[in-house]
Amino acid sequence: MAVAVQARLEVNRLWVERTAGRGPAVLQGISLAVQPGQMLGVVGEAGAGKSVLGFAILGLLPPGLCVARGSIKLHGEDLLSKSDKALRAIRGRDLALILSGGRTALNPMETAGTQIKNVIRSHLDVDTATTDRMAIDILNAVGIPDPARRAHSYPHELSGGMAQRILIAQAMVLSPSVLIADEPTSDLDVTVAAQVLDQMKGLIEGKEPSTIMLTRDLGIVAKYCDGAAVLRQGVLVEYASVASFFAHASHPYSLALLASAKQARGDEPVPSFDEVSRERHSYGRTFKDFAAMRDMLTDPDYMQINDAHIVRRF
Amino acid sequence: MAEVLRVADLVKKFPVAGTRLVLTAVNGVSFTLDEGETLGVVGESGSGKTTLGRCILRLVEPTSGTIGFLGRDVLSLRSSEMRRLRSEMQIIYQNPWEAFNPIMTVYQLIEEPLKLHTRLTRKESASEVLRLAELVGLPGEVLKGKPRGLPAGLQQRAAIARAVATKPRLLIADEATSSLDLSGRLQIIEVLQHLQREFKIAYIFISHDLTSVLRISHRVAIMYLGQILELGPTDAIFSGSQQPYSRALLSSVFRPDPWASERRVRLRAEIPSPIDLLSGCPLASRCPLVEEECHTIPPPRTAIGGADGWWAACHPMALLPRETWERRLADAAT
Repeated sequence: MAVAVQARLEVNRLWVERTAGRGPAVLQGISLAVQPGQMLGVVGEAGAGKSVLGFAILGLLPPGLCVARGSIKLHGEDLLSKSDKALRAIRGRDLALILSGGRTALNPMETAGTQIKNVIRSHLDVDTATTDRMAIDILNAVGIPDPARRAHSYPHELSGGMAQRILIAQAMVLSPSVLIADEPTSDLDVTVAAQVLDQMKGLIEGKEPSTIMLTRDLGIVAKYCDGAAVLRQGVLVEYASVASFFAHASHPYSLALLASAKQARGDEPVPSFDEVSRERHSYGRTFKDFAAMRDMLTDPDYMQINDAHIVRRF
Repeated sequence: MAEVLRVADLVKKFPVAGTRLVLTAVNGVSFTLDEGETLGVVGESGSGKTTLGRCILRLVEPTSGTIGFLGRDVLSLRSSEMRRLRSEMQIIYQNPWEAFNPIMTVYQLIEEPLKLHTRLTRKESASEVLRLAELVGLPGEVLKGKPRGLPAGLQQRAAIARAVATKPRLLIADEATSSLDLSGRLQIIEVLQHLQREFKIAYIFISHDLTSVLRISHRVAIMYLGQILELGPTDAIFSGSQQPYSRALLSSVFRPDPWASERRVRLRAEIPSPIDLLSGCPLASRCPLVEEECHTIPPPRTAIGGADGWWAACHPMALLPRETWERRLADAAT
């Protein structure tokens, strides 16, 4: 048997429970993997456990929650066994988070430029000129017009779209190898959200981080992601390449999500399998993360639809 | 069908505190609405759609323009007359929790408008509350409890029951589905549609959520910086909008389909400030098809063939034959 390619980020049978021990586990045995340059869309309604998954990977679970079992590996190294100090050195540099919320997620007392430079300075030992240049470069890359001037703006002087770009710049400035985007455009108007996502996708294509996109919008998954993982009340119910997910979603919950997204738009039916194989997925990238799926399949609760698609038995 | 509402040249300007500047939230809006009809009002934040709704109910006083409701001139009414009229024009909000008195039970919340606006006996109003709860799909056991802690969908049902208790002829729904998950949105829309069939209520459905608007509206108005830039039947707008802003807005929504066409009309930058608006087309600074006159002259409202009551405001569109313009729009999408 060929040696499996090691994924950059591997989450293995992750259980997150409440420390008080009451209520069901918040995440129940989630496995997933993301290769460089791939974007995995983690989909679910409010309360599905999307954000908890993101925070668990970052080692930032809120008080009251803890990882009970499982592992989270970055470049093959177990993050759960690392000290707080070691994690602090990784977070922001190799493992970054993009929050939603624009202005409210930024420090109101510091300029946009300072907040980006803080990230650089806390991880790299570089001179002021280099720091400044890196900050301006990343502001440029996220589509901030006149970045040298905008770097001196305080959050309240920025529009929602600009503030969200600053958050993306902050996360991307050190070219992290893993990027977690938690509803990065849910607070933006649609025309601006589309601009911001395009810019983000462009950056990701250049810097090739492994990205987890936590979202409730199946439209974003369809357009930007390579893989789709559906969470329902802490359980992974379906995990597939985007092409296979939108063509062969099988779990009743995934079908309900898809049906309500389509119904709401009065859309045409999903294309048939023939059409699917003729037209490539819009970004031309194929799905690469089969290892986590194979791992999930050793659990008898899961079955295989095809080699890029598993579903929880229902 | 009988006309319920006629809004003409409605303007609302707010002074900007501490300055002599003026913020124009609604800038010359006109439309009519029939019995049993839903007008969807779509726009991004800052487009003035919420202020428009509040002006129609006179929750804020319009600066100028006229509002005719069932043949009455709303803006000339005294406040006591206005209060009586409000039983016939109601509003529901994005977050029902903020509109509820938290110490009242759900039952009391639904009963309150009946006490204020009808002369029902206690017994009659009790059976009316139960009937309303059933109409909106509120299970009986939640009536005894307080609204706090109820799922958002049930809270919104309670808000709807309360709003329709006085048998209004007009209901304004301001982002009424926006705080709900997709499945919850569809359920609330079904409740609203059911009530509309039953009582012929006219709705103004204000939302930035295009999927909800598409589902519930008979006609759609696209708002930008206080103006309606396009208005027409829902199908016409969603399948072939003619105004560049409408195109940009509608093509920015990603379909749950990885094989969908990706072409999009892209606008430059973001929505400008509504303070000290320039005189031309509000879209001029962002439009990919902008012409010279767009910067100086307000765009004329131009009827579009192919559907009843369909119009858009756009200079180049008004000047070009439909086919040429369609090609321009298609070429602008990348």
